[in-house]
Amino acid sequence: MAIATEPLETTTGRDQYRALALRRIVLICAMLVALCFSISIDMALGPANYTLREVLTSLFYAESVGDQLRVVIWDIRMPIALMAVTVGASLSLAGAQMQTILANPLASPFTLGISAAAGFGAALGLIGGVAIFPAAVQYMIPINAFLMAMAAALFIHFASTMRGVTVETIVLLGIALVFTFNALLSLLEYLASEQALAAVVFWTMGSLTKATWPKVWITGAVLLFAIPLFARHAWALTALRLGEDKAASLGINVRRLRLHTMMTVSLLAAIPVSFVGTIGFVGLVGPHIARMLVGEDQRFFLPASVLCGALLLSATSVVSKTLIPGAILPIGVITALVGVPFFFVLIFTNRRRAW
Amino acid sequence: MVGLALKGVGAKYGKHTVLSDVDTDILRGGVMTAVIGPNAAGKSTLFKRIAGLASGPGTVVLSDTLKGPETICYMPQDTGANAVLTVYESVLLASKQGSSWKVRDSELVEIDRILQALRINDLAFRGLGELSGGQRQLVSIAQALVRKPEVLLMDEPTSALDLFRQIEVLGFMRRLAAKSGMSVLIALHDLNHALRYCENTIVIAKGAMVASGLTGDVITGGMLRDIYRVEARVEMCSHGKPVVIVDHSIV
Amino acid sequence: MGMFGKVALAAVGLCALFSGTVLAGEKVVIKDVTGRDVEVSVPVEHVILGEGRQIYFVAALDRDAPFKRVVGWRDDLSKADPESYAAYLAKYPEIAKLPTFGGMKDGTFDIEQAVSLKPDVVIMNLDAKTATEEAGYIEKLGKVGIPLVYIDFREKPMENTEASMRVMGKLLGEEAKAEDFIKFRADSIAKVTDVLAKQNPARPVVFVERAGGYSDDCCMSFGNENFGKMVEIAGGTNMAKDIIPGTFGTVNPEQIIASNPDQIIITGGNWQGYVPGGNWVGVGYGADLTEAHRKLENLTKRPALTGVKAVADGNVHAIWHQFYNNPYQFVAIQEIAKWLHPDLFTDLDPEATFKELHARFLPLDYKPGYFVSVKDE
Repeated sequence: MAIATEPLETTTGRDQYRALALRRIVLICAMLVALCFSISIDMALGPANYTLREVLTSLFYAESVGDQLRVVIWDIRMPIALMAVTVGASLSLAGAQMQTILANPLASPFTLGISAAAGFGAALGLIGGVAIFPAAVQYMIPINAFLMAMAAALFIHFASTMRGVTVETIVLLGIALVFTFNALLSLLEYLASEQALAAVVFWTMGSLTKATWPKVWITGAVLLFAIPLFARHAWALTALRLGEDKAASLGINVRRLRLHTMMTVSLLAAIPVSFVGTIGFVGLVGPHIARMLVGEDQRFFLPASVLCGALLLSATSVVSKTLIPGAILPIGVITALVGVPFFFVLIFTNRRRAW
Repeated sequence: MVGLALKGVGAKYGKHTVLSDVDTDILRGGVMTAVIGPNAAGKSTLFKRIAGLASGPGTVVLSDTLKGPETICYMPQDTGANAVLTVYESVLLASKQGSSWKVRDSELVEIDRILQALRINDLAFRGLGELSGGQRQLVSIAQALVRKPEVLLMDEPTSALDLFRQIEVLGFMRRLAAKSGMSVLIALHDLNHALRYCENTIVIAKGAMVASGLTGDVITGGMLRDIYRVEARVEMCSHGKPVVIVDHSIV
Repeated sequence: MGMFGKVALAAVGLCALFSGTVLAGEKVVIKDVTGRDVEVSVPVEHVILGEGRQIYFVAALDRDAPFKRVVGWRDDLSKADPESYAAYLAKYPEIAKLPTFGGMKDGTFDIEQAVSLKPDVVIMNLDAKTATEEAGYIEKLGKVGIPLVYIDFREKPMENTEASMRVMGKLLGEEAKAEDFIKFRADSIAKVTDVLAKQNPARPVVFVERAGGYSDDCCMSFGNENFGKMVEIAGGTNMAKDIIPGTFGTVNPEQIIASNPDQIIITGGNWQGYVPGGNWVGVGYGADLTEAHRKLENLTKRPALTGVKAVADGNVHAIWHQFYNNPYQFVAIQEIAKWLHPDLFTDLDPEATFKELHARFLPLDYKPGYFVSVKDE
């Protein structure tokens, strides 16, 4: 069945599209290179002032170097450097898909109350010594945070499946959750001892110094589990951006796609937050930067969001330890300071509408 | 050639019946069928029901189809103005649903053809957000056509177009239907468009079918009085074509 | 102020008026630690402790019945120092019924409740000054004739502890006892500072870890204040003093390896209520030192302490976290000095100092458990 009646004049559309796709692939590769560079810097810099040669030797011939060098590279620098990557990537990806399925540019783990819920869960442990899941008290803080975050995410999801609830009301619900959990957190803080209070304040600030190898593996595994799931639905997720009716008309089961995506997103958002605390900015801005760079075709948007978030947090990790040598500044603060200028530049130089 | 017939088709939202008792003869491919009726009569609901996007009683009978029920394509009124996608990408993604990441040259050639046929190839690399409502309607048509449906349900595809574009799009769709054997159902407000381009007409009012048949038989002064509450005549113009002339509304 | 507030204040004002006639004391002007001149009838019979840990002062002055004048207090002692609270509770069971105020964070309290307790004076901590002034408590209490004084043993303990003790002594009419305490404290510190001034020894680099093992984070520490300052007074160099600009902060774990401190001091306490089974070192009043020793050794195995001199030499110690906001912190200074300069302070016995403090001033019997070192058996 041939549809066109007019003869073909040129093939410019096709060529232009191929060029556009190539440009995006190049951009994504550039981000990947930048990420590798940032990880390398993160690995190479530190108050112990090892030479590049020592760092490399320790990386490739770990047995041949002294205990201290090996511990610094393998147990201190590397978990932090890799945790920055997995956490940044997870939060950014979670934000990207939340924005996609809720059709709202303000959606992110932070703005929908998932981070706030995690913070409250952690505070329950830090202040009240309450273990929601009493079997594993030594992991009480991350487990509490995770369970509360999942509860919030599922609440958001099931609310979104109720009749008469639109994507706009979902964001309002999320904001209501943020306020609720923040109020509960403040109440707990009001009842807290100074020591617990300091721990809660520090926890809610978010910090990569909590990184350990098991945490790196878990966040990495969740990320590796989520990416193919989203990749398989890349075309469908992109189509969601054309509106619910349009997506349905293209044969997509919108409700089911939203459910599956939201479940995965909950996991992606809750796990990093339960390990490293609240890092608000990446999940909101990472996807926006990616969108401005490569658009919303998920085949490009998905890897770009992952890389943007990873790069943003990795660069933050470098800055947070180099700004005052020897100290580690709270990462949530630095993320915003690193990301905002870049974000502004993109907003003001981007002529095309981005959302 | 594909055929579509509706047997006692209705639609429900929850327990609420919003449409009932739509019956038609076999609507053959190759021609267009107008679906007319006042605002909120249930035209969009009928389309969604036919496309399987809404549930309800009755059966939608497809005959002589090559692809089965999936061949029915519903085209909503608009396509996402917020998406950060170019026109070209938005058409590509409509054609790629359910298939692999890899984009073949043949698929791109097809998109080029459709964009040129709709004369929107100069918009191909503009963002959807930069387009006017009318331009987006044309993109929406392209998104539907690229899926090569045998039954196409177009929900007011010309509502935001200027007169030239309306005539152009409707003429194009009629020629396309004739050439490809596609059955096109098209929701319209302009009854003169229905008279000029559509072989059959279905009239929907207050959630029920009022009439169905050849356009010339269905669009009459009596129907206009009953359904649209206007005093009107259907007369032959100087070219010998029927036109609707509206005198005044009935208060 | 709302209608209800006005009525309530008027009502309790009347009560205060009547009670005021009963207690005719000597009106004196007291200069508190902020330099305010406050007129108070002394000795006071009814006090509200704006912070529960002010009992550390009161107990030193009112040894026989430390709670006899306390009509209300903030509930922080049981949270911050559960061992001491338990010890006091065992000896004075009536304190369980003392009216309490909540709210550690912003230092506020329910003014109606406070007024209804008819105190002769409200004693606030300097840290609560901002919150107290914002809420206008001084004016509101002033209207019903209740004075408010500030003391401080936390923000600037070295400067303000003596002045605070003097204020307390005046208020309670125990000025001689207050002077005794001040002298005992000053002598105890002088035993450290005099030797250091005379010998001028090399200052070892000391890493103070704040609440080590409390969470997975490594490594919270102190800037120039708090334990950072105590280490400097005791003849050490606080490793993080140029790294952490404020009082609290986090040091890059790698920095410990880079700085290779000679001594490591980890603050600890019984945090079973907050982090059950955590890695913290539970030192404190009557603590189980065998267990504390085990946990301290466990903390030395963390990556950040790999191959550090202090670990190799066995110079890793744990100290009771609450010393930082405690008028008894001179004992901690002695202990730290002994850890840092064992040769200079062979004769110094911090345990004996602490024991003497209890014997001479405090109602509780001394129980060890505040310090542990990996060198200890």
